[in-house]
Amino acid sequence: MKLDFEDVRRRLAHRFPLLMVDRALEVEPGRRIVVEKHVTGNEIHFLGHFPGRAIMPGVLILESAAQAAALLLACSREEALPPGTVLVLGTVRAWHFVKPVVPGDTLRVEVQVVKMVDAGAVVEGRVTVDGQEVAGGTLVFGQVQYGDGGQG
Amino acid sequence: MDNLEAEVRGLIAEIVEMEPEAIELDADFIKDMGLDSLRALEVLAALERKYRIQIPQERLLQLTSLRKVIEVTREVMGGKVAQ
Repeated sequence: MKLDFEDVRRRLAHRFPLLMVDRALEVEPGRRIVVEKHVTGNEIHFLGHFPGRAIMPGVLILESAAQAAALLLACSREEALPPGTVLVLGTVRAWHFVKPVVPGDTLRVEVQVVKMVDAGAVVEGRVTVDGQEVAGGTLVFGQVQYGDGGQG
Repeated sequence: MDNLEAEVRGLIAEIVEMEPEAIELDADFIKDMGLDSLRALEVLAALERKYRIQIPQERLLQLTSLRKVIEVTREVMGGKVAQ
């Protein structure tokens, strides 16, 4: 399964300036997803990160992987989450950044399910640019009630 | 301490970022160790990967202490002792 930008927007709650997935190249529900995020110098965070040299903030690379995971989990669930609940990123484990990402790069984010249960998931993410790893690690998602806090 | 206990203790220690010997067998992960439910999910995923087993998600709520994790692991493995 492939998803274009409008398909992605229908499945993710994120919006400008924090929608970090442009399209999904491959979706295998319950198993893995590969998405792309095109990085342009026109993005608002480059105003401040940094004025003299544009480097994509690492947390936004991580956010891209978290959104890819959210997309995969949304495509994988047979039943909707209970009303008033949402899956949020709860743990980031052994996440590493290998090299800077700059305007002109295309992030290729591959996320694989390690374990998925009704109330959460453990996934592994790997982010590459032109075949070279730029970041990666393990993300753990949990289900919370609205207003319980959490990120992602 | 048998092999399985030592291995499971090591695996949990890595996830909860403690020294293996500091984890008491019956300490409750949430009440006594201050961990959250996501740690149990990580433990479950790590056990499945290490022992190539499938632990039903209903067992997640039973993974509340080192002793209980060992019991569930041993049961799911069918009594087979870790090599």
